[in-house]
Amino acid sequence: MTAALLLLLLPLAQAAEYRVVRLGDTVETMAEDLGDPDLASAIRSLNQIEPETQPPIGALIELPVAPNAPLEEQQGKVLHAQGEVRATLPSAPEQQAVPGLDLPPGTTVCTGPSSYATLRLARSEGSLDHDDVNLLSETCLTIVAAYSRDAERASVIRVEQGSIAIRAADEVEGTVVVETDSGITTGRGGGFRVSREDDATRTEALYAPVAVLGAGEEVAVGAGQGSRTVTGEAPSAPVDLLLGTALQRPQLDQPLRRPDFGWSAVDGALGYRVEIASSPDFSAVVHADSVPETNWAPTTLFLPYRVQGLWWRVAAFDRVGFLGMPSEPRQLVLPPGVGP
Amino acid sequence: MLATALLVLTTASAAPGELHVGVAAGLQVPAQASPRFTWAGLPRASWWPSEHWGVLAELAATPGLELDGHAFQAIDPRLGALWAPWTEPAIAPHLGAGLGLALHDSDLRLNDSVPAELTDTHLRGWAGLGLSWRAMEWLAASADLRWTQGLGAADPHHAVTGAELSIGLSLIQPLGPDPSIADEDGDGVVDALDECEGVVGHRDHRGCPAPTGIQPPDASVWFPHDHCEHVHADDLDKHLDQVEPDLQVVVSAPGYLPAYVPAEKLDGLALEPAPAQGALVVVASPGDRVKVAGVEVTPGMDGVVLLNVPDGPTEIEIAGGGRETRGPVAVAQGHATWVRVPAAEPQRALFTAGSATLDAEQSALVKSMAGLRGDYAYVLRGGYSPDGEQGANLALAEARAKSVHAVLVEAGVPDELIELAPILAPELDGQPELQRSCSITPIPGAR
Repeated sequence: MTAALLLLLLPLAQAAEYRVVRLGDTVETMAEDLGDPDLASAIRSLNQIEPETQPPIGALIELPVAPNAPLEEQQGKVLHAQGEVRATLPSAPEQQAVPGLDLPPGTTVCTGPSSYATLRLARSEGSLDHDDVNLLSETCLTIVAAYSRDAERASVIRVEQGSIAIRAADEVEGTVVVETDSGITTGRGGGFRVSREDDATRTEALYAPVAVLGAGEEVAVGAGQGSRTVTGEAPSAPVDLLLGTALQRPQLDQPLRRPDFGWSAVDGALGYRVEIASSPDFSAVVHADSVPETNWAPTTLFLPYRVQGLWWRVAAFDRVGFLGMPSEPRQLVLPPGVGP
Repeated sequence: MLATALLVLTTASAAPGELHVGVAAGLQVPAQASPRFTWAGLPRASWWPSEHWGVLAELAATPGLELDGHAFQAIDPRLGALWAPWTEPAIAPHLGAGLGLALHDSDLRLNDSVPAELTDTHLRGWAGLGLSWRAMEWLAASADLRWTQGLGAADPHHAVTGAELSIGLSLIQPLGPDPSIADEDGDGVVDALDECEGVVGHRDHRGCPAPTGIQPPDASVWFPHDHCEHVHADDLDKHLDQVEPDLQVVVSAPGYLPAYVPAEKLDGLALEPAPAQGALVVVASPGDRVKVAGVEVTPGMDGVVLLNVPDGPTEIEIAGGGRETRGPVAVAQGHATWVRVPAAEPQRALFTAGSATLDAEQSALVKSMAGLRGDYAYVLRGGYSPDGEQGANLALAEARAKSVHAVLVEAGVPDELIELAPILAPELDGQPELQRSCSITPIPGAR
């Protein structure tokens, strides 16, 4: 009886594999890449592609899973949540997203004002390598898929609003596909940002190249470059991101009695974005603010102190909204009497 | 001659587990006869199994007496219960009651109806009160007053009913283990310190079993990058094998202080409860006076106040340099809240054209600045509008500064903390109403 139930459930647990249609891809070449040209009809059937037609560049295609190369479907997980972070799991009411919460495909996670979250996406089988996504405030995303096949892993997310950043992978690179209404950004190794704008999507590749696709066009965006995709239009040509600034104050070992931050000016900067995190890799952002000058003296500042530590960094944004390379992070020293 | 047996109550202020053994002597006052002195050497003992209750066993004996040619002897074994309301004081009262046998052997014939050589055995009840004095750790003295009641004696003269008064001495011997070192569960932690009495525990955990896993049980463990896992305390076993023993992990639970420990020290870790408070950092200026929750606190040299306050809203007040700021601030557990107070700004006392006299409104403004001075000095700079003759305007500006100076001094600002600065030249595009003024600039850090 139990075995019969398991057999019934197995097909439901089978992971779906996705692929972004790139320049030169056809249904047939994708079937060949899967190792079986006969799978072309299955691809068409799965994605409602008429015979003799090809999917447009930038389309997200679901691939049939070969029986001899099964995928392991994975769940995401909340790694960090600061402020108001809500998760809506498939067939479940909305709930607070607390660290450790499992996020199966189909889960939507949203951050409120001044709230931040970090989610773990796919993880390579048999290793600790994985991809993370940081959600800035007022961001909503849906985990479409997360799966692995041996050491390979891939994640597909859809960003409804706000801004996300994919953490740069340390060793084994995974593929992360970010879908929006305007197009798709895909890259291996993470290290890029995607931000929703009114009727466009902005992509910034920080540490690795990505491909931006929209309206049947693909643009290669190198590390240190950005591209904007207006809905219904092709992605813009890559533009260079502003360079990182140098942090000046508070100095390295100076206790933070007066929150008075300063950094060097960056040519072409319209303003600067300051981020404070409770982890040196900024996977746990606890505060972010944008300012027009090269200093920041907030009227109020609210930071946790029962944490591993606090770090801050600054990135400049240009006149068309591209956020540049972040500065090297610097640790904040809490004054004696604050914290453990 | 009626023979009487003297009953002795041998109690003292007692402690649990103690045995009191002693002798006593006293006076019996039978209801049927005149009071008679007698004495008795009695083996007797009382044992105190609990703090307030004791058990008494005694043997009262009156040895053979020769009286009017007749011999009399009596043996009077008794049992009873004792109750002491207090045991701590060296002198403490007690109550007692019990029952015994009266064994009489006498050739004394007081009543023709009673055969000579009478041997009589009957019950005798008793009840009374006493006072015990623990003179030394091993010695106690006592005084007791009792009423005895003979029950069913064949010879009414043997049914001694009446009062008894006695004094006695007892040696004290603890029975069983010393309560101060008793260890009922045998776990090596004496009961007085054992937080888990009756449970074989561990001496490193106050007699409780050594915890396995993490306390509290709903704690979670963060295995940092590159594991990036939050693991519930119940699921630790399958993760610990995968990490280096010295990997620094973070253990957290709602309401507890997080702990940063190597993975190898997770088992048995107990988190400390977190105080429900956060840190408040009021970033004021040197010279400002700061109150938090109505209590004045002294800022540091840089004007910053840093303190821990209970979780929740708290009221802050900052005064100095002629300005006052107050309002609620939210403080959250485990978080620090910095609140920056805007610096004191220069203000202007305004005058009408050609006048160096402050009207009531402007005078109140200046007095308000005096009252909210804090530890600031003031620099005054008179001003004038470009209208009119220059020489008269300069004199007017100087008079305006002196007018403000006078009001400040009158309001209590020390003269040495007011500086008259050079006259303020009118700005060409300024408004004449603002130029006919005296600026008052607060300088922080002056007492």
